Amino acid sequence: MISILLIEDDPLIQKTVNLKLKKEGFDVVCCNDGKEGIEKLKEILPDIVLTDLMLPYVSGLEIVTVAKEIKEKDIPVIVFSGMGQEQVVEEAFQLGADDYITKPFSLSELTIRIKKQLKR
Amino acid sequence: MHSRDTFFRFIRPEHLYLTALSFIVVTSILVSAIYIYLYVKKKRHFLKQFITDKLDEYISTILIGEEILPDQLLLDEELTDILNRKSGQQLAIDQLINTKKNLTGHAAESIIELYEKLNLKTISIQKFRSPLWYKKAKGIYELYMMNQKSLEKQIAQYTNSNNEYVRTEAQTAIIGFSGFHGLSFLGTLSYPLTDWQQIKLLEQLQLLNPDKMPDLPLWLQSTNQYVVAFALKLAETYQQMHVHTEVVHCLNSPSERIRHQAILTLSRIAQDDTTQILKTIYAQETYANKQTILKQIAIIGTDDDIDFLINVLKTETNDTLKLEAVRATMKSSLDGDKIIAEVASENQVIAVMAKQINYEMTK
Repeated sequence: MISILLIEDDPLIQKTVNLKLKKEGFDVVCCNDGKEGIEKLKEILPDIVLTDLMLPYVSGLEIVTVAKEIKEKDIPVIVFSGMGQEQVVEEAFQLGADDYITKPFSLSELTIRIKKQLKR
Repeated sequence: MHSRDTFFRFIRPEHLYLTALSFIVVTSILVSAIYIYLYVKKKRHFLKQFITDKLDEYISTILIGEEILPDQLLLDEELTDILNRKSGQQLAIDQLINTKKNLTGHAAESIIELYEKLNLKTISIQKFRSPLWYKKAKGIYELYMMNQKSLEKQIAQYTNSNNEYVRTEAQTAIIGFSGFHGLSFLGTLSYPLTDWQQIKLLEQLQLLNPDKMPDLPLWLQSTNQYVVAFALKLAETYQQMHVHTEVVHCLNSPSERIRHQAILTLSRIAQDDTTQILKTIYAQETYANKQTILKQIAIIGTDDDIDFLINVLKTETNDTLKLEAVRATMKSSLDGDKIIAEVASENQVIAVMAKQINYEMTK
């Protein structure tokens, strides 16, 4: 089963995305903050990472950096950004992020983007 | 013994006991009150957390479905109890609004459906109808966030409310419902439209496809100076070339801010005679507006403006204005460098300015 690491601090968004992805057949591991996210990322080496850019303790940019430093596996990273965060998204791409989705986003669009990354 | 007697001659033992007792009682009451306060606060926090978790679980389950099934609306006892309480209803509304801010598409539609089916819309309408301004403003916000367009006409009546918060929420809601058509409230607005609200409305409009603003010439002639300022910003942002005459008229406004905005707008909707108009008003303008005029000439100026700029260089005493004039000259003409070099040969300050601008332009 394809494993997804979801790092999102909004509990309701996290739950909704989690349920949607589970319904699509993915194995989802959720984290509420960046610190926990980095720990889980190193521990489970997921097939794909979904991370919000604005997180408590450690930012989404750092998650992108850590994910791209992992040598055992090429882990695609999709970042969630808010309106007007174009500069941070640019920075995320420079650090190696593979795709981004702007909030508010549609759950179907997110699923399509995940599948596209996994097909690479 | 002597000092003990003196002490008790002024303070009697029973007074000491009474004071000590009072101190103990007051301290005990204070400690108990703090303990009870913290206990209640903690209990409330956990209750809120419990309700939020329960609501999150319920809402998220519904949002991932293709449609809201009738049996999903049959709530269990706990949820029914939660949604019967005012605090629970408010938490549910807040959660739905927060989620709607983050999700679009089918999930967003489900959020609105759920809001309506759980009768939360009624709660928002009650707030909207409340005579208390803070409840009314919150009600308008909730109804707008939940896209309750059927209440548009009623909300529109508050776009000119005497309460700032109610007014701004209503204006935001109307733009949200009707886009550019919603701007019609500018025709009747008699209260201020703050800078912050103007920024918010422009931001809101930027998410929409630009549309016609047939009343823009009227707004530019409004007696409300805030409406004129906002209309000028609209004309600038959406390059409304057809209001050039009205914008020129704004240059006669007694308000420095309006004239400043009119200068900026004119450079965005410039016509052949725009720089000539700006040059005509230059002499009587304030220092800040003179600076703005020179900056705009640097953008829209041509060879025809060189004589004016050279005159500014020769007559102005302020170095900042001179610097702007040098910049405008260098940008307005292909021979700008040569013209400035000629002036600079007689004036060391201009030479330094030209050097700085050359550096800026090549950077």
